[in-house]
Amino acid sequence: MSDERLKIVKYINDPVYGGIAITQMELEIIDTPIFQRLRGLRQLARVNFVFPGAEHSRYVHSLGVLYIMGLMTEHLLKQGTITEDDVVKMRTAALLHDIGHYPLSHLGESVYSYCKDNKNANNIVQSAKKSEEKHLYEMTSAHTKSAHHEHLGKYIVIHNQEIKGILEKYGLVDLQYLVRLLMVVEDSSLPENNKVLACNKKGQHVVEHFLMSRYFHYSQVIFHKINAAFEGMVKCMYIKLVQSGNFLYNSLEEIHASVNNEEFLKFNDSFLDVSLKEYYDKTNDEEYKRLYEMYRDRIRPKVIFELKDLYEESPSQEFAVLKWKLKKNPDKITQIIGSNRWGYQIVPITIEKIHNSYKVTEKNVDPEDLREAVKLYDSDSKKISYLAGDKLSIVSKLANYKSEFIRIYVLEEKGKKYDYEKIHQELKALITS
Amino acid sequence: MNNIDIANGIVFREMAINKETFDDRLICQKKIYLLQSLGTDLGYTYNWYVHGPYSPSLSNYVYNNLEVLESIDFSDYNLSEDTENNIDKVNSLLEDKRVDFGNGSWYELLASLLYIFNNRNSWKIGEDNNTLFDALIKQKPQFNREQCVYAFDTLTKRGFIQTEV
Repeated sequence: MSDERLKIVKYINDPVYGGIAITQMELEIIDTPIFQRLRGLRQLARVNFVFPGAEHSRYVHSLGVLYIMGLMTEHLLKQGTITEDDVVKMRTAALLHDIGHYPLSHLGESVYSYCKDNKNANNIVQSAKKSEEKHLYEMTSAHTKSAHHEHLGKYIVIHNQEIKGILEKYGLVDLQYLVRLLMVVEDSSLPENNKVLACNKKGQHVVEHFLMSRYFHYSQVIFHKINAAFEGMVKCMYIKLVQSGNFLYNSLEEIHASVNNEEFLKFNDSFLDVSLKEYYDKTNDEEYKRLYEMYRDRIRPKVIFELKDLYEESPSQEFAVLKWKLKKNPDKITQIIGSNRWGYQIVPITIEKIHNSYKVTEKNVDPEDLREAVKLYDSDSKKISYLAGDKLSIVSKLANYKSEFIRIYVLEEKGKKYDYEKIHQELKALITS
Repeated sequence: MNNIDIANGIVFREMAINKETFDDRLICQKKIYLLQSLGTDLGYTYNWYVHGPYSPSLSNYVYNNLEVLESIDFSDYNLSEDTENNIDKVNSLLEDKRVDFGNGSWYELLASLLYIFNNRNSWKIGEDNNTLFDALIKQKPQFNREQCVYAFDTLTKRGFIQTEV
């Protein structure tokens, strides 16, 4: 290595990867308080309620990603497709990719997104029917990403004086680069910045294996039915805390204003846990109190109905009807359950990042529709193609399939009796009628 | 149905959002970008991609929800006056489309120009509008300078770009 910035100054011992090599600049970043904050954020939120081993933090995850990026860049550098300067930038991007995470990671992201978008929606829509009081199912089912952790991360990289100072000291003044995609192959169909990340076509089976593993990881762990129900419950409680003004930050604007303050370092899972308890002690919101007690005592919500589908063009009729009923007529579900303390989740999982009605063929593809799809590079023909368009690939057979779950769960009220068999039958009748 | 879905549903309907063809999806992306730039915030974050400003979360939302939203009766709800005005401004841009543009390419040029203008610091765009047009043409060589000037004037006339008097 001729670039001094790539000189290894330290190895961090890691139980998964062994020694993780660290450069001077990376060491300085790791030592900043704002990076150390990641030690206090669980990678998988409350997945540990269901899988007790899921305790690792965003901090060790970021070091692991740095290690993997080290392997990738070393390989690409040997190929001559990237420069040493690229390696510095890509390693830095890997180390900092989660710097913008919230307490309880993606769950916190969805809470701040909901609070922001719900407030904006109230300004956009006018109605006599509009009510400030939200049902639990409204909070659990909203999927918005306006407070995505990558956007907060980008904000921190640009505005936090300490991180910004280290990057500038080592010549990384083009901060926008850090948020761009990894790019190694020139795509002549793109006008400028035309390098894209692609996989050598010879290695496509490894990518296929990875995509299948990711699919099962999501379907069996991340979206495990009990975990998903717990997360819905925690999300409601977390939203109520933020909307009540009793957490450290109650909006994205407040977070942005604070990224250079010592106070921001408290923005982690432990502080959230303390805030949840303090609010429990003082609030008169009975709904919140019940949610907190369930969280504290690990009382799982009861999953009362589940429908799974795996489809190519459109879902089964039963699945489509239930999806529509949940969105259009939640009052009917409330009537069947006999309580408005319920939630639902519609979880789509795809093997490839391609919308299920989109056909990948040589003739009609547009790179904008397929921006997240895996690309292959054939070094003999010098052509870029899509893995999902390769007829000999397993992924091509599955790329247009979408696996989708709908789960309805109840947060049981103390002392109330539920006839789950009757509820199940009535829900079944609702979607088959 | 939560307020966020209701807001999206009515806005999509009034802006004739569709997802069938590539042009439909392109126009959807650009119309919502233009709308949000006027202050109607639906919560979609944009980055630059092949055809200009692009929001993956908007794409996902439209694919997953458009059919349900199209089937819902929103007659109990109205949009705020500001939102109605902003939608009118975006829709009326079509009145300024010349014959040398398709619907998709017209919205692509407008939204791309506005995106670069709104992010001129990170794009290193100076005070002179020519640097803005140079940046746009470098990214999108299918457009010429005269078309860029016309699109810029349209954005100014319709209130998307405020210029000092």
